[in-house]
Amino acid sequence: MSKVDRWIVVVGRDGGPHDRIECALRSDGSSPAREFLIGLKAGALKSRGDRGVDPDSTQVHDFFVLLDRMRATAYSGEPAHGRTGVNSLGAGLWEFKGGTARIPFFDVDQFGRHEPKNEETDRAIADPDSRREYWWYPDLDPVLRLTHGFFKDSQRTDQRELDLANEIRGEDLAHG
Amino acid sequence: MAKGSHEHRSLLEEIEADPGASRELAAAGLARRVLEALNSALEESETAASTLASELGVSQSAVSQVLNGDGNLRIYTLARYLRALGLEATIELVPAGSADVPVVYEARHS
Repeated sequence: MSKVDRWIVVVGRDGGPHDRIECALRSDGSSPAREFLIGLKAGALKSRGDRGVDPDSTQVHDFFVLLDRMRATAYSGEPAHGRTGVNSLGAGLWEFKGGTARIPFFDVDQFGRHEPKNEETDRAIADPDSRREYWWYPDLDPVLRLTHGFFKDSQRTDQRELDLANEIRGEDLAHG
Repeated sequence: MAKGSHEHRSLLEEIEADPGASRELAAAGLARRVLEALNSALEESETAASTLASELGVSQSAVSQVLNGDGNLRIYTLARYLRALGLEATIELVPAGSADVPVVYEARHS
């Protein structure tokens, strides 16, 4: 199998919890998360709240908020700004949040293996010393992979986005 | 700083090499740290958001917007919120790129 080349978003710091954050690949080699980040940075994505402005300064702003939160999470191993910055989607999927922009992700170990980890629900078990502010956030593996991006415009995440994230995760993991 | 060996420059490294983009990222970073500090202060003081709203004479939704926003709040607003929690802020200037020392990670895993 040829070497798989994923686009790296953030490289972790020595001694830190994460090696990197990178974009997952579909079966055909495309990377929806990369396309979303590039479009968001340019303020050129279509969204339901599209104000017809090009470039959309809100999107550009949200790009930097997202990138900062990814950086902080990669460096600290904690969700940047708690649930405002990172949220559990269930089934081992998480998401970075910035404005209405969302980027689902999952974790893999250094060998590319994925073991789904979900939000902790029992503080007494997750944080017996009551020291952790974000006790509900588990220790994720060293590599975080972004599946794709979307704009959330309602209280609940659209099931189609969850299905797409799950689909991309499966295709990415098949690359090995 | 680079962890492991990676063939290509990361998106973050590209942004940091661009003066204009790196300024925008620095702004997002400072806004986040301000909000993280404010939320930590609220949690450590064990003050309910409703109590803080009452103390400040604003609505609870206004407090929620500040605490869960993107952090781009006015310095006067930050000072008022902190003072209502019995706190004040000081500012420490550090070389660019060194503000995000993983303090939380160290505390959690020490």
